[in-house]
Amino acid sequence: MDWLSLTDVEARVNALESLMVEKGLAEHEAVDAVVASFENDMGPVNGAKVVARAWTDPEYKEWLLRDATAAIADMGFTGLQTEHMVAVENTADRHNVVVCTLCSCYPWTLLGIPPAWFKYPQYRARVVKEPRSVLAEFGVELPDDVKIDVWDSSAEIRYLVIPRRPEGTDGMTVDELMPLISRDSMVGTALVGAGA
Amino acid sequence: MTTATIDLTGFDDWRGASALPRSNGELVFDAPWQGRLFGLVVHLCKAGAFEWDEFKEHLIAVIDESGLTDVCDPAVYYRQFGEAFCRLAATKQFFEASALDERTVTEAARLAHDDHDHDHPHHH
Repeated sequence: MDWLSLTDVEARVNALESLMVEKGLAEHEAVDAVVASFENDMGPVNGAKVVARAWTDPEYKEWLLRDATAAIADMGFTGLQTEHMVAVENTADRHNVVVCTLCSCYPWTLLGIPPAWFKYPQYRARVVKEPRSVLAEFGVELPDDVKIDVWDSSAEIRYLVIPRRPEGTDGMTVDELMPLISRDSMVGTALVGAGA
Repeated sequence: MTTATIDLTGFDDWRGASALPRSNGELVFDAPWQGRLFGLVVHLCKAGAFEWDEFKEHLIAVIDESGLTDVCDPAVYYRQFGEAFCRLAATKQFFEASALDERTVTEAARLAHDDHDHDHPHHH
């Protein structure tokens, strides 16, 4: 086994983690915690920049909703897994949540390293069948009249949720808004400013 | 934003031969698997599976043997990192090499969307 010439290095790393968990030596959640400690080095800051700009610049938001790939590229975020992006906007009567039912496709250039729960079979299967109760488990309690759209990522298309801008933030700048925008809010499993 | 902070002091060797790739002081990854691998190895060490110095000896050896000592490129560095961890795992007998090969095939199929979704119960 030679890592330097491996072609399937991503599969190898997944295999390593799953073996170590199976042996009882590692826990997915603990790896998540380590990753979370340095994830700001590669996002979700980028995603937050896109959302904050959309919140403060109506023309940019219109462009983002019409052609997310181009609007995101305009921010300098290009490359693997942001090549075919679709942005979906949360509104007063519609909430969006993203899943990859087949595996764990994820716009990591924008959002950083995917959390372990995004890959769990339970999340992947259940969020499609019972999104409202899965979201409630994430702490997102939506009124019954809010429709929920579940977007299934694929190798071709990745989704970015534009969360609702919280009330009382009208005078805030992009830099002030960015820290409010969490990774989970851009996957749809959290709201921005909820409970804050 | 939930940013649990983990002190990486002791897991890095800023100026040494096995220093983590950084840009402007920040860790650099150019693919998620690199961060995941790094996170896994740091977690295992913190959980007491091995001492960091044991791992570092393997890492320095792998870097030396590869002849690729310019490890500023995370795509190269984290491959060396993975190789070093597997050597450590072999000495610690964490798993059989064949088990890792088999699991890699399974994971590759899953990544290629070739898997059949087994979330539902089967009766056949």
